[in-house]
Amino acid sequence: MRPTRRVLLLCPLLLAVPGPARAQEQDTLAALLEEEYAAIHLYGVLGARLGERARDVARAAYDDHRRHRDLLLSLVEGTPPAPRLSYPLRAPVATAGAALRLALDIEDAMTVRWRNAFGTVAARDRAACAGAYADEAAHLARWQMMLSGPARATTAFPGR
Amino acid sequence: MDRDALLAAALGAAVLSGCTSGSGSRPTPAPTPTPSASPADPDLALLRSWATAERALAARYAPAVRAVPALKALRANHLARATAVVDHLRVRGAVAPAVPRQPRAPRDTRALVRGLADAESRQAARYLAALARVRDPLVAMLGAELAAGARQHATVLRVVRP
Repeated sequence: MRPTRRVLLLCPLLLAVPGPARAQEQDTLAALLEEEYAAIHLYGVLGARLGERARDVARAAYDDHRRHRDLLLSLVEGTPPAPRLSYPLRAPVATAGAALRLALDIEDAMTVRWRNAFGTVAARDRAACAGAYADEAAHLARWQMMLSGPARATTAFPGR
Repeated sequence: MDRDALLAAALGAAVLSGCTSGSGSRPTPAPTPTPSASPADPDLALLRSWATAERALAARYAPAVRAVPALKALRANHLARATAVVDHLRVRGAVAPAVPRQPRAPRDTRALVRGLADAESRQAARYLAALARVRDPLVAMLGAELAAGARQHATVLRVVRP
């Protein structure tokens, strides 16, 4: 039986439909992009409360979040989600201590998110995503170090 | 529904099942034990090198822990990671290679800690570079965790005051 012209015309459409794994990867990356937007916004808020030394650490983390946002923008297919005008704070950031704890919370959450996202990405995107995951884990350790010292700054498997 | 439409639907289903088989939404199966290590397993050499690296780094921490007791936690992390890598080797029927003899540690504590920080940074870069070659997604996840862990250690060692 020879395929009819109509069937042949449908084939490219069928091949363009993403499989479940690809769709899951795209959903995960889009959600992670929104988390990166929030992290960038929140670093802008907490940076004003920090002392000079901590502000340098925050600036490095902020720059990395912007790089990770750009990485995700290159990985998300179609129209990526846009940043919101503002992101809610779970608690007021009135002191340097509160700003440090917020930075720690951001990096803790982002380390988990990037680790989980790594499990869904295609093999070709692994190295880039693992690099971002390692960046987040390093920032988490830096804030932990400031708050509680070297003994509690690291974990065997960050984000697990 | 006419004959053409039925044919198109059947073809579509066949194409989609072909596109998604083996990489669908099913969870990645856990590694299952094999009776003996297969020389064709592309992840075996990497896992062996990772086991050696983690155990060698743990060994290098011993003199640093004597000088800076807070670094004990970092040594424990390496031992836990080494165990995880060895577990992956075991399910493949392979054993971890012996740890090579370590070079003599510098007496100066600052130099010792700085050397460890450099070693952790280099190891993190090696883990990241290896990820493109990994076949098993579970091994890739482990490699990413090892890289993230090494980066955490390098970060702490660069700011810790010996």
